[in-house]
This record gives sequence, structure tokens and C-alpha cells, in this order.
Amino acid sequence: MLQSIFNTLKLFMPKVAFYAVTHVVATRNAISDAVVALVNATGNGQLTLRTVADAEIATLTINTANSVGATDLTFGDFLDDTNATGGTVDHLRIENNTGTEIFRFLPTDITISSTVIGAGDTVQCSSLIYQPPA
Amino acid sequence: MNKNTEMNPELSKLVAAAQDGEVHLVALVRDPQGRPKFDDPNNVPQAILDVLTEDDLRYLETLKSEAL
Repeated sequence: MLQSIFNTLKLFMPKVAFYAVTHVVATRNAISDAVVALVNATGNGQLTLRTVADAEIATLTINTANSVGATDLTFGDFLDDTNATGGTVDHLRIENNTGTEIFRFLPTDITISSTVIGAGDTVQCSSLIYQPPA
Repeated sequence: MNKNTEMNPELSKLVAAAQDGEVHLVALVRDPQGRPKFDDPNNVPQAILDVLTEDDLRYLETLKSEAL
């Protein structure tokens, strides 16, 4: 009896499954436009390296304008942080100039020479390219 | 929990990968003396080697020999 009721209820339960989608170029471009608009809200934005507790380790200000191509967003030049606070990098955040997070990523998803940063160390970055979901 | 609604974990990973955006960034850390810092001097990614100066490369060789 209980099994019968359960099977009846299952018919009305929504099936939750997610499947991959493919974004066309115009949509990907719009995503990058939206991201850069958030970053540019208060200036060119900044990159911060952070600990697992989200404490700031180093901050690199974006010195020149960010630009969106056909789909990708290329961030401007980063100013070195020549006097890092220090810590072990757990994640990195792109923020606007007031520190509001726009997106984050992991050090394992980029190339970084050392994830252990000492107080007073210098952190330098190449250009950052963001690719929206395909 | 309705088991019929669960996605195969491997498929979930594939979907997540397809939905994620991606970034490309190379970051170099230097100590206060200006020397490059490495998590593993014996396994430095090519993208890092490409941005090192000749002095940096000599210092890296020193670190490697000290690690032996």
C-alpha cells in the first residue's frame, strides 16, 4: 500500500536533471559585456589573492581599460603588488574597485609560481583573459 | 530521495565543465629581495619559465642544485 502511494507521488515529483547547453557567439559576447560592466562599475577593477578564510593576501589593481572581443574579455594591465600581506592562496577574485566580488577562480586553474606568499613579497601577473561559458 | 532524479556523477562533472567559464593567467611571486618563489623548483611550468629573466633562471638552477 505504502509503495503504491509512493509510486503515485513520484509521478508528480519534478525530475531535476541538468544538461549541457551551447551558447552562440552573440550570447557569449553578451556575457562578457555583462561581466566587464560589473567590473567597470567603479573603475577598472582589481585582482585579489585570498586565503581559505577569504582574507586578502595581495591586491593587483587593473591599470588600463578592460576590453571585450568577439567573445573573450581581456583585462587591462595589472599593477604589481610590491608589498603583499602574505598567506597561502586558496582562490583569486576579480572585484570592482570597492572590493565587490564579480567572479572567482582557483590557483589550480591558472599558472602561479608559488601559492605560498610571504609578507612583503611581490606578486606580478600577466594579462588575464576570461572566456565565457561555451 | 528519488534516485531517478540523480545525475551520474561523471556526467555532472562534464556538464559543469561545459557550463563553466575559463580564465588564463600567469602569476609570478618574488620575495622581498626580488628573487622568484616556486612551489616546486624542479617542476616549474613553461609559462612561468617564459617570463623569467636570465638572473631568475640562474637562481632557479641554484635552487634545483640545493634540492639535490
